[in-house]
Amino acid sequence: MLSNKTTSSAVRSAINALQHYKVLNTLTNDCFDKALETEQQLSIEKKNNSPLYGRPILIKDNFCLRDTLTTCASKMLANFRAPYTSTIVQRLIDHGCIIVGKTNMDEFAMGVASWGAFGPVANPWSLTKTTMTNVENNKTVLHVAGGSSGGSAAAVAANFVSIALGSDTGGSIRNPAARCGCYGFKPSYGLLSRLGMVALVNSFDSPGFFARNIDDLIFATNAVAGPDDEDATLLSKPFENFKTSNELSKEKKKIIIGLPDDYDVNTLSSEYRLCWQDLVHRLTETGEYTFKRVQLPYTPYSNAAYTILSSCEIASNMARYDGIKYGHHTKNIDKNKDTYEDILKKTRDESLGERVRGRILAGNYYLLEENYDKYFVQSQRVRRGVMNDYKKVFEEDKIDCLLAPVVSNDPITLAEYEQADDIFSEDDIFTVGANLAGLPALSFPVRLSSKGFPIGLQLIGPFLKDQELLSTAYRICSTYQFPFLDLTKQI
Amino acid sequence: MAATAAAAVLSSGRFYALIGFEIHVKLATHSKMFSSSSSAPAQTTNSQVTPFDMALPGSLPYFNRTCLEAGIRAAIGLNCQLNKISHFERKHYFYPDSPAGYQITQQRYPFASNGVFHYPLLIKKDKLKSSTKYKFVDNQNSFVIKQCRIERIQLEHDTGRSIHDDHQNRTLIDLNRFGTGLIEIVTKPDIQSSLEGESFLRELNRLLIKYNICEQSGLETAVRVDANVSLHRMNTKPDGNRIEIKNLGSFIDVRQAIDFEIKRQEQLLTNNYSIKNETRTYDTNKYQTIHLRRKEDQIDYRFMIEPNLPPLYLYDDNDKHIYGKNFVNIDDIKRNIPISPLDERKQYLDKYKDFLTAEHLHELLRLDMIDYFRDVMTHLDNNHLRHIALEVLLSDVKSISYDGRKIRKFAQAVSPILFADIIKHLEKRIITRFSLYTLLTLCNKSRDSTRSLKSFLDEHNMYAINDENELEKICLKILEENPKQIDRYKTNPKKALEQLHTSVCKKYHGRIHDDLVNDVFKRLLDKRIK
Repeated sequence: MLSNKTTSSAVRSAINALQHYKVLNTLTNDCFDKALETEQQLSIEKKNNSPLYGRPILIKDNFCLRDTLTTCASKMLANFRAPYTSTIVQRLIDHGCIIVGKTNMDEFAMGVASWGAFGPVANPWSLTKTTMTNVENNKTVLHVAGGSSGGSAAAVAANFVSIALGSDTGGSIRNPAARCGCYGFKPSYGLLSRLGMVALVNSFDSPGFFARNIDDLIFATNAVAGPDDEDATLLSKPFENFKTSNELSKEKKKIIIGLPDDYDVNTLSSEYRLCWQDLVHRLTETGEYTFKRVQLPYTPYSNAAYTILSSCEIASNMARYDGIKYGHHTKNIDKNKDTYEDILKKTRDESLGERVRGRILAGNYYLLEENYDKYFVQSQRVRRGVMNDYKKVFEEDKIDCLLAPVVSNDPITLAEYEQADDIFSEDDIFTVGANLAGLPALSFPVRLSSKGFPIGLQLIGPFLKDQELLSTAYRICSTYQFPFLDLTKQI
Repeated sequence: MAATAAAAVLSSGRFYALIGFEIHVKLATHSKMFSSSSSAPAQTTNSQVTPFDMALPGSLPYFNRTCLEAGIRAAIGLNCQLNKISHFERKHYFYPDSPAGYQITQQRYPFASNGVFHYPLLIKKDKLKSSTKYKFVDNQNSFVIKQCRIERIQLEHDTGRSIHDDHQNRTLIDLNRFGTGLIEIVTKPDIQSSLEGESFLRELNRLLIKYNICEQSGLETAVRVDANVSLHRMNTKPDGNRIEIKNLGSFIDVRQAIDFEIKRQEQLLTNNYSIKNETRTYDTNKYQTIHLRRKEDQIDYRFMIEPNLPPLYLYDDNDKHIYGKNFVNIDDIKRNIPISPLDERKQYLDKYKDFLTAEHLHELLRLDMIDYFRDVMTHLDNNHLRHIALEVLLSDVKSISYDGRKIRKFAQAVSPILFADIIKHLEKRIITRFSLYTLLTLCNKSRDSTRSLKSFLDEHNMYAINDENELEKICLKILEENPKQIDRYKTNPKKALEQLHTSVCKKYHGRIHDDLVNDVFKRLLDKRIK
């Protein structure tokens, strides 16, 4: 909310916090000066009554903002200034939000560690571990913040800002929200415009928000949801605002929550499983919730289908990065010898990271004429199987929503992550289902692990039942208090 | 000459040709197919480029309704089945004029398929009578109508333009054209000769312009053709192999490329080589096709469903749930579509049956004069005038326009109104029939198409001499200058009159009415004899 005092400024506080905690590397670049200017303007103009008016926010660096660097944490776009603003961001600006900076992420939103060309985001909870210091250099040991929207998640979790924008393609909002200890909401596919959001997998990409309470998620989503004239995959009917906790009727009907057996995998640590079970017990005791075990038999195949479908679309979406119109262009040109293809190869080799190149290669393989049916089309059939699994559970078994894990164990250190070799994470199994089926999902922090890291769980709801999902989340989260982090107190 | 060589091959009875076309038609819509920028041609370089057109990160396609409507009109005109569900796909390949690294097209699920198109064979009258091949003619007065089946029509967009600058060793890209709407029409290989090919394409062109699918503009070619040609020994089955000739830009190029290919393939077959799949291009300067790439080098385009565009649903009157909504209705478009060129010509035959025969119409068609004929007819209000006009079109205008090749220029210089005026003047005997060729040539050469007929006649003194007295004076003068003829008249009156007629016409180019002057001479000479 906008302050009347001339000395205190919400933007100024955010800037101070972000600068003080540079070690977390949450930003790719900042808009500090412009943000302060805007705050001044808004306090004079007093344009509207939006609950977001004057609020400093951060946006993930894969959303275009006019005349601002939009890098996607890639060398390829390190110098790219967008000549236009994405629909979602423009709507936030129209509501009076003040954009303080662009947040760090995995390169082109591929990964679960938010480690792109500009270094990794660090989990803010690493800074609370006074016992964890590196023996060699006496520096605090840092842990992964999750990904790919780690910068946005970390900043909200640490209370630098109250709301941040992210994107979720295979779990990229829910994963870092769970790791960093804040709320992460991925709405139903087709509610939020993707215009101006750099595409990763067009069929799965969904913009979404991080916040420290559910009402803020609702305010932010209400400000941006609904059709625009430029995204043909949006639902055409006008968007009806979600109601906040105050606006909903106090009548509490009984909620039936499904517990998917197929998500109870071996890799889930006993500590994290226990958290899941404890919550179930606690909620059962209130008498307002019934839990049922449900089956989603296509789950073991969902990762493979997601891998194939996403690789194909990624290979296709990345084809535009040739350095000719914008972005990185190789300087290593032999004028006498190099053909168009040679220059193209050098440009892309130099500026696209290994993970990105790996996905492009895989995608191009799956899209070969001889492979299309075997891989792409077959994966779409599996995807339909996944969708039908959920549909059956929600419609036939009369389940309101599902409660499931998001990650299986505490975050590893950045050093450990660097050694590891995986392209895909085993935790993907928890999150990709909701993307394959376009369902709304919300990740929420429950309690701290024995090592002091947040353990999060998620709710997955039926398609377009976002309001119900948000209300259920609110009810569940009001039954306990999670110790949200606030690093600004220590400045 | 490739044409005669190819014709010899085909009429030898030892070979037959299978020819099919892939025709790219630029749609006459204001904006592009998937973005809102204008599709107007010949604008300042890179001035019509939206984020989508240059594949900016985060940009998305949005389908243009008028492109769909134009496509549906084409499908109706080609008697295609309209597929109520079709899909857009990405066709991937790297090239500088394709900013996204892919083109949006409809490969596996086009919106229209299984059609057939009827077209008149354009052949010179004398060839029609003499050739035994054209045994489809039931009577000499009818058109030979042939048919070609249409395999599919798909919606897609155009690429940008590459300009190769050899001096500075670079390629320049203009993205104005990128994204403009196209339909690609793919025919089955029903065409059997270059003549059939040209006839088919000309009739198709008429349909596309009449249905307002593409524009007839001098600024950019609206229609580009790739031809697939394969020659086979008579009584053998085709093996599916064919030669693809890319980017033929004019009817003549199509004709010559096909003829060249037929002859070239005949040589191969005769020397026991088989035809293997190959892509060739046509060299307009050398009149031959040139190898471009082999089958093994054929590109795998990695077609993938376009995820940013939902499936394309088409509706008709049976889909009640769309009533009241502003969806594209196929039946609505059918009801409002203009008459086809084929049916329109049938109408002319009926309307002008007093003087217009199928043979006339066929010749007008061959000379590309149908539109001009139609416009002239509307400016003349009785059949007598119209008949005269027709006769002049098929003689003088045919010649002046180089057998129809320069008819467009002629139509611009000599507007239908001007032409009609000339015919009226002719009928009123204000000008003579003999002056027409000169008069029309003068009008055609004039750069000012708004000049009145009167100004031409005044400037070049082309009025017929109708005044009896004046004519008599002239004839007397001629008689004075040609005393021999006066004598000759006594013994050989016919010859004498002829000579006198020649002399007077020499002196008064095109201003002399034959019948009038003959009467005057006769009268004067008869008087003398008495």
